[in-house]
This record gives sequence, structure tokens and C-alpha cells, in this order.
Amino acid sequence: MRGWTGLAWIVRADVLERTRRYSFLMTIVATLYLGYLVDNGTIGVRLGRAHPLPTSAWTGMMMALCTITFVSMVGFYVVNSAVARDRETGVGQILAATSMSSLMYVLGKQLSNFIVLSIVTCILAIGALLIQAFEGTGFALWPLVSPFLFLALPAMFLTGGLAVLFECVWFLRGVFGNILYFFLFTLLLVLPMETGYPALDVYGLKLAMDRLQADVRAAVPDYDGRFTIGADAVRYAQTTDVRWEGIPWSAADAGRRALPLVYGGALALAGGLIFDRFASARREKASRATRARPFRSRLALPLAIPRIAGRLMETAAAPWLYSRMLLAEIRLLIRGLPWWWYLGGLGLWSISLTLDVGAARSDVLPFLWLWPVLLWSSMGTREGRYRTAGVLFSAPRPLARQFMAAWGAGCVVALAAVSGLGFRLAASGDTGALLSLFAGAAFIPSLAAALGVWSRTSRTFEAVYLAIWYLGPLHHIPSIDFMGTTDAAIASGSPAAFAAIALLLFAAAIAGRRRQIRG
Amino acid sequence: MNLVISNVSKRYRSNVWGLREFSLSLTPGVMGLLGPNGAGKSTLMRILATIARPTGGTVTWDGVDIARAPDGLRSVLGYLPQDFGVYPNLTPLEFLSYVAAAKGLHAAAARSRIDELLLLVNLDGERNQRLGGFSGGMRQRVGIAQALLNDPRLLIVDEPTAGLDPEERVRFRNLLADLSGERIVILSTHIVPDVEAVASDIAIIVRGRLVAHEQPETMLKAASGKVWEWIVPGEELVSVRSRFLLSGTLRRSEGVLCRVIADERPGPDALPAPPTLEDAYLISVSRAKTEALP
Repeated sequence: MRGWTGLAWIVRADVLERTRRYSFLMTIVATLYLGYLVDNGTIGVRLGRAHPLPTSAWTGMMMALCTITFVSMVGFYVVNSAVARDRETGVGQILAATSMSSLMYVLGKQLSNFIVLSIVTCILAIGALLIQAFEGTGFALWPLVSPFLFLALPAMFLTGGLAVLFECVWFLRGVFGNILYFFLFTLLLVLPMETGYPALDVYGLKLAMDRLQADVRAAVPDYDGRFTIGADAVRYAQTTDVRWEGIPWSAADAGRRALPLVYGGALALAGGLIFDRFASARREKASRATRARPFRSRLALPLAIPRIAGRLMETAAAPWLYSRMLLAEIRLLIRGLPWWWYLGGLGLWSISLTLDVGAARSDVLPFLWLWPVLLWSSMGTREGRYRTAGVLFSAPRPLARQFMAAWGAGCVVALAAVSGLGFRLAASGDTGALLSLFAGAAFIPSLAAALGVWSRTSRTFEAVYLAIWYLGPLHHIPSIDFMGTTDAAIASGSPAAFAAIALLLFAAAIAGRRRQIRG
Repeated sequence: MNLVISNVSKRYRSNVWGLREFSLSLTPGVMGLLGPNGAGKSTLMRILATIARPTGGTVTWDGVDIARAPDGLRSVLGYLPQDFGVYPNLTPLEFLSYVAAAKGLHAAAARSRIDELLLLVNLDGERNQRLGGFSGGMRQRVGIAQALLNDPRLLIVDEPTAGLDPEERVRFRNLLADLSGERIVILSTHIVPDVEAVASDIAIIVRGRLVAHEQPETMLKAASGKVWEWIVPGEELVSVRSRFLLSGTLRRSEGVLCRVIADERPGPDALPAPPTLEDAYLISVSRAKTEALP
């Protein structure tokens, strides 16, 4: 009983701490925006030429499926800082010294993750209710909310479990884990569709898709079986109205949807078993082998410091001073990475030189600009994270010097990553593709800096960038392919549009940093 | 060279004040800023370091408003924040070079300055080791070095001895004493002996307001006759504590020796004692809190 009470207190404290943060407010705003995008039809569920009428069942299912797809992906980044926060604040070491078991702690964090994601899900469910009440045809509560209960909430439980497990495994804690999750998430989406194995259908998308396709096929004989969540580039000249009344949930369906709960619990259990109980923080302190020596005694060294300000001070903001600052920022960006990161980057760069230019642009370029994500993700947040803001912001011209240099370093990294491909494009005279590279090199650090400065966490950039990267450059959807991986993307004007967005983001980053500097 | 703080206020929310109509004029020397936790010391330090803007009043450096034109002050400012941090993957040499570039220092001069400062804080032997492996005290020494990089005219150090062991603390005090002279040094702390050792002036801040700005001798003079040493039986300690302000207690075989702060003799066998700066500080803070009560 004491253990369960302790668990309840962990969950309560963690949820309160998270929901009182500024970042949670941003999450709510983003959730409302997602609901708005579903409402205005920008994103949704498409079923080929079938046009489902806005019944309660359809509205609920569409919103639930969008919730699963987008909140499971982005929500991971929202919640996977529960253990990290305890590690950073030192609260973890206090908890580690109590009699609370590791399993109880991890389970508490998972439940807290689940509650936060459930709040987001509930907001979208309420959004669906409002949409149906004001814009729908008829209103029935159960068909509308049941997709959230059977599909979305179990998916959120699983996401919460994955987030806490990633935090318990040391090499999955940082940006590497964040990127890996993205691929794991896409794998979990695709796997049940490819294999047809129900036990792998953790998000319930296969279950929903099968029922929807069967019902639509019955109503629209020439239905081509197309099923997409998000944006579908294919437009149909003629559509057929379909009235969909929902899924009559059976006990078997409920049992199938209980699987993510089991998986989520198992993940938390695994996390509890391997959780180091903040031993790494203790080890870090213990391993500080560098022995402290005191200040030099006055006998050993006179403490008088020569007055040399006259020759110390810069006469003007000369370009070389900026280049010195830029070099320092580049060093700061690329320092401290594991050897395999440099090797992997070099490997990708080499491949971009050897492959056919078209293939390099289409297939390698997205990965050339995925590899340095962990470098860019520190932009705008590093000064807060390492508590150097006080020193840097009180130096002369902090915006013109340090911030510009940090942004420039991000651009240099982006350009360096694609330099091999860039030279080849220049040699082949493909000016459009070459200019796209410059647009991308300006867009990425601007996005990182703006999101970092305003959200004060690197996770926002990681989540947003990976989502854009996945849909645009990787899947070659022209309208969001800011890298210009295809001629269609360049023809659509995306790189130019993203260059303009980069300018806006840069301005937003400057405004945010100015606000930080002024306190 | 003068720093003038005129009626400076900082309001965070409608009824939450960091500072209230704070005025002070500073000339070269070491000013110790004392106050209880949450009194507004760090808020004032941040405003003076140009990384927070007052919601009322002005701060001028040599007649120039630092909120309107902060770069003039920034170029001669050395600032060690309370929550100072470092980049763990850089070495002290690289970190100090980075801050020197941010401050706009001449490269060659900065290099020799960094060498001098690394020697001064005795990190010369660790100049090429990553800061991530440094202890809290060693990082604090890097913080002290970065604050001195540009040979500042105004040196602001906020709780600088946090994380330093007693020996390092004493040495840091000596360093501060040596640094004073033709510069203004503002030392913010709640450790009275640190201030006592080096400060030529002391300002006491309570609940965002300046309650005293005096020389240490003046404060001691004002506290004279208000400090008493009184041996009481152990079982009466709770009662004494509830009736008087105690600045210290010491267990003795005949009871507990209490250091009592009171305008009048607290008991018939209490003896007057010479005040310390800590006593004087407690008297000021206690009076300020009492006067602030409705």
C-alpha cells in the first residue's frame, strides 16, 4: 500500500511539474493547431475517391487516427524528459536515496507520461465533439469517443512506455535516441500493414484501416483501396459520398487493443530493471579525477594583475573578430561527439561524391542533413542548458557577435555536410538545385535557433525538423521538400518559400534572443 | 568612474517585486552587498550586469543609462553570475578564448591574459583538460578567470565563494582585495565574513529595499551596546530564543552561552560584548523586517 501511495505521489508531482511549465502551454497551443488543421481539411484521413459524410463515427475516427499519427510521434519528444529532469535538477539523487524501488519510480514516470499525452488526446477528442456538434450531421457520443478509447489512448500508453524506456537506456537518452525513435515509430506504423500480423498493430491503424476499407468497398464498388493519413497529393475529379457509422467494438477488438497496454507495461518493467537509479550522475561526480589544486598562494605568486585593458580591447567590430567568434562557435558545435559520428558523416559525404548526382540528391541529401541534427538541436538552448547565458549576454553586442556567430556556425555545418554534392551540382550547372542547398542551409539553423530560443528546449526542433524531413525530403512531397531533392520540389518553389521562411525564423530567433538578453 | 543606481525597481508580477526604489551611488572600492535569501541581491546584480532591465528607475555608468546603451558598460564589465556554468567539452583555455572573443578582446593580448589568469587561479596544469571533469570549485575558478579577462572597471561577483573550500575562500577574498583600487567591485553574498574581509562599503538589502549603506566601522558603532553574552541553562534556551534575537550559541559546562542582540540587558547576569559585523547585519535585517510589518 505504501508503494502504491508513493507511486501516486510521484505521478502527481511529475504531472504538476510538467503542466506548469511554459513548454506545456506550447504543447496545448500545438494541439489546438493540430485540431484546427484537421477541421479545415489540411490533414485528415483520405479513402481514395470515397467521401465520408461527417457522421459522429467518422469525425471521431478521423480525429483519433490523426491523434495517433501525430501525437504518438511528437508526443514522445514532449514527454521523454521526465527522468532527465530529475537527473538535471538533482531531485533524482534524493529519490535514489529513498526506499522507493526503481520499478515504482519508472512506472510512476510512465503513468505521468501517459497522463500528459492523455490530456492532449482529450483536447483533441473535445475538438472532435465540437466539430461534430457545429459542423456534423447528427450527434452520437459513443461512435465519436470510442476510437479515442480503443485506439488513441492505448497508443499513448505505449508511447509513454517507450519514452521512459528510452530514458532508462543510457545511449538512447540524447539526440541519438530521439532520431532512433523516429525511425522506430515509422517502422511501427508500417510493420502491421506489411506483415498483416495483428499483434504488431500497436497503434491500431491496421484495425481501423481494415474496417474502413471494408465498409467503403461495400459502398463504393470501384474504390481503389487507397488509405492515407495526413495529406494526400492525389486528387479525385469525382468522389462518392459514404455514410460510415463506425466500428461495432467487440470483445476481441478490445482484447487486441489491450496489447499496447501490455507492451507499455512491459516497457516500463524493462526500464525499471535496467534503470541505473541515477548512478551515472554519481559516477560522473566520482570520476572527476582531476584533482583540485587551490589558488596559488600569495607567497607562490604575486596576485597583482597588470592593467592591460588598453591593449586588450578591440578597436572595432572587425570582420576577423566575427570569424574568430565563428570558429569558436563551430568548435563548440562539433566538440565532444563520439568517433563514429565523424566517421558516419564522412561516409555519407563520400557517398554523395561517388553516387550519380541525381541519386545523391534524391536519396543521400536527406541523410546528409539528418546526420548533424544533434549539432543544430543545441542552437538557441545551449546558453541556458549550460548556464553560460549570464556571461555571454553581459558581453558587448551579444546579438551581433555571439548569436550571429552561433547561427553562422549552424549554416557552416549545413553547407559542409552538402559541400561534396554542392560542388558536383555546380559543376553540372544545376543552379536550381544548388540554390536549394543554400536555402536549406539557411532554413535549418534558423529553425533550430528560433525554436530553441522560444521553446528553450532542443526537443521542439528535433520533433518539428524530423516531421518536416520525413514528409518532405524523404518522401519527396514537393510542397515541404525544402532541400529540393527532386526537380518537382524546385519547380513547386518550395526551396524559395523555405528561404523566405528561414528569414522569418531568423527574425523570430533574433527577437527571442533580444528578449532573453533584456531579461 | 561611477555607477549610480536611482530609484530602481523590478516588478515581476502585479504584486511581486524583486527590487523597490533602490538607490545607491558607487565609486572605486569593494562594496559588499548583503541580504537574506530572496532579498533581491541577484536581481540587482543582473540589472547591473545589463542582463535584466529595471521596470522603474535608472542605472547610469559614467552618466550613461545602461538600459539604453548597455555596450559601454559591457566593454568594461566583469561578471560572475551566481549560476555560472561552462561548456563541458571545452578546455579552460578554449572556454576562456571563447569568452574573450565574445567580449571582443584582441586575440594576441587575450592569449597572454588567459595564460596569466590560468596561473592566477592555478588551473595552468589543467588548461587542456575538459571542463566536464572539473569539480565545482575548479569550475568556479574558471568563472573567476573569465570575469577578469577584460581587466574590468566594474567587477560584479554574485556568490563567488559558493563551492570553494575554506582555504580557497580565503584566497579568493585576498584576490578581491588586491583587485580593488581603481575599479568598482560589487560582491554579493550572504556570507558576512567574506564581506567583512574585503569590503570598504556595505549595503544591506531586505525585501528588495536598501536598508543600510555604510562603512563597516559605522555599522559596528551602531551595533555597539546591543550585543550581550549570556549563559543560560540548557532547558531555558527555547524560551530565550523565542524572546530574543540570537546571533550564536555555544555549549558550555555551566549552560549555553548565548550571543543575544537586544537594546537592553536581556538578563541580570548578561554581559555586554563587542559586536561583530554579523551582529550588526542581523540588527539591520531584524529592524528592517520589523518596520516592514503592517
